[in-house]
Amino acid sequence: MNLTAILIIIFIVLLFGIIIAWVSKKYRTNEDPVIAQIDQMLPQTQCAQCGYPGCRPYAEAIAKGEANINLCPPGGEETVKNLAQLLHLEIKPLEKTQESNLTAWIEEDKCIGCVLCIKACPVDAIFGAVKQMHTVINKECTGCDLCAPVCPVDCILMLDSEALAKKTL
Amino acid sequence: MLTTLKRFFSPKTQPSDNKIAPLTPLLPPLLPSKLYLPLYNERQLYLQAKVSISQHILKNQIIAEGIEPSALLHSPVAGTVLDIIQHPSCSSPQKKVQTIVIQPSMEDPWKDEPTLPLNEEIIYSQLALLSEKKLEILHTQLEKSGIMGMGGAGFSTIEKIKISHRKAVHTVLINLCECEPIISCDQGLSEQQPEEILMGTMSLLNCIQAKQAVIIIEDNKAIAIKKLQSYLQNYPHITLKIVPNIYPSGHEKQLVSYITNTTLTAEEKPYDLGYAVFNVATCYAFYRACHLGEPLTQRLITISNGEKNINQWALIGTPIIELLDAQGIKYDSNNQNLIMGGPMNGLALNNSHIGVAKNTNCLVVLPKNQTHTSLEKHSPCIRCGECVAVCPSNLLPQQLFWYAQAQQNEKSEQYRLFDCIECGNCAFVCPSKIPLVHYYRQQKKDISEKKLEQYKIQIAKERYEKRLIRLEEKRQKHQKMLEQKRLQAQQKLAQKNKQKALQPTSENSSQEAVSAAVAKARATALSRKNKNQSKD
Repeated sequence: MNLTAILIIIFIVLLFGIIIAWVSKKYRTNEDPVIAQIDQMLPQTQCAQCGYPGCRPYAEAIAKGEANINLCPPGGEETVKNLAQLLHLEIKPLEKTQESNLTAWIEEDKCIGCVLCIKACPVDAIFGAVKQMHTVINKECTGCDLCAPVCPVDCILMLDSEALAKKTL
Repeated sequence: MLTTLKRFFSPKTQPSDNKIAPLTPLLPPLLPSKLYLPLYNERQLYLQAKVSISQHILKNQIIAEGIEPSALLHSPVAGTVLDIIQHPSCSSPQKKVQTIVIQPSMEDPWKDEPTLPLNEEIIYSQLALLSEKKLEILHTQLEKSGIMGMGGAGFSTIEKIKISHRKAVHTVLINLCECEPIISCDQGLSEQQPEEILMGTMSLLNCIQAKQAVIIIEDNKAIAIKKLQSYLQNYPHITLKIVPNIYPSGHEKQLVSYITNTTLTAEEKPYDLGYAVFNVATCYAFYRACHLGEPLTQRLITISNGEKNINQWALIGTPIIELLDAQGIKYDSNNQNLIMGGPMNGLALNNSHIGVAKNTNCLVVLPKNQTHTSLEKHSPCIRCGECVAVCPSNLLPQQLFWYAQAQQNEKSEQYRLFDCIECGNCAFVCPSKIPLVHYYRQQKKDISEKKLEQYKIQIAKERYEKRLIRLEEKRQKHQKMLEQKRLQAQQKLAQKNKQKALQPTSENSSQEAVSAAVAKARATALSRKNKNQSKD
């Protein structure tokens, strides 16, 4: 009687052990879930002002503990606060700040159609072709300011919403 | 108990009988010295001017248009465009926007442009079955009238008609409940123009292809009810529903709940239940557009100083100060507040030279101590629960206030903040004089902004990831191409080497050929020599 009970229990334990082993193998994620959470908090402007090539690499660096949480100017203090809360770190002041809600605007009569800005845009928000006038898709622009420095004729302006509304009037 | 409480509840700013004396003639539109028409409409859209400075214009001429086809601005008078200046407007009292200033002509201010085409299909008092194509033409024609919801929200009426038609709306509700105390312009309109309103309603029905219309009217408008009823026998598809005068019955959701006995949540729209709600003033404007071919250039406005209520026709763009002056109402910006909309949830204006907009239904001048707008001075919430009893949406205002102060957005949403219709009942009964609605509005705005930001972040992320995938694909393709090229080059080289390996034999053969040729040449040369020798 005792023996059967012990056997049954051993069998159940083994069964669960096998199931657990199988599940952990089958559904293993190679990725740290914290990275996705951090990535979600970042403003996804892909501006690379933090020193990393995009928001995701920055998130990975934060998760590894390589980067500070106060390197994201477009996110502002709000993002620093959220990150600090998530990672149980102290809130630090931003390294550098940036005016938020900017949108790129191409002065179309000056544009020479060099496609340099199109290549620089991380979110494909610039539309145009070689030797054709380019234009910014306002709705998609994240205001990362990566296109302005590469323009050889300096025809890209960074506008706030009010100035943009006047331009598009 | 609740109903009686609500029923006896009346704002302190409201005189005991707030409605105008029956049948006072509506005053004809006042001709102001200047008109201010902002290039920025009630739906936060910028418009583009279609006229230039010092251009002569006619009444009903289109002077500005927007991205939406129905966002049109017509000149209310014939005259001259004086200037285009930066001026505050009803939709943005804090911010200056581009505004067209028109000076009415001295000789003939009512000289008008050829009117809109009349639409005979929809002007009958019977339901007309119209084909989709015909309806589309009709809707496009009516877009030219520039009508928008005149109850306050300012939604484009033609847009609403189109949506209602798409959603197969079966019943049109006509809102004849004033949205706030003091306001009586809808009542005044229905007393003066009952038949026109019914005709406009029929046109609306035909435009939407709905089956019936219900005019919802509050029980304190006896004359309007009588007048409407006397005409109703000619309109079998329109019925009248009398509801008790409880603030705030003028809200869309409240109206639908009167008819269906169900409460709509924040996400639900009346269309989902097969209803569409139109304001009675919109109905009248629709009548003028369909039957007289006139675009929307004037509206009825209630002007009040708390004691005296007057309904006055006003041209869109008339400066508020001229309307007040015409009624002998004094406005002193130091001691009085100028409020657009009703006293409960109207918008305080700080400039009396703003031109009235299409959705300005009421202008109230009240002493500063009678309006509760101070944010700093209120006492703390004592959680008495008075606000819970008066909330028409059955919310917990004191709880929402708590979360609004703590900026706990998720909690607020759980407590259905977005079901709040901002009627102001809670703030009115609050013994601590907390401007609750202000807090709710602020939080709603914050939440909406955050959601929009999240959405934008999501989109940006998707685009960025797609771009990365695309670049990776491109790189791989390039690499593949390089690989292929390398392979081809290798193959070519291998072939060449093979040929080289074969070449020695061919070289031999060529050498043989050369030597054969040399031998042949020698042979011929020898034979020639022999010939020459034999000749000699």
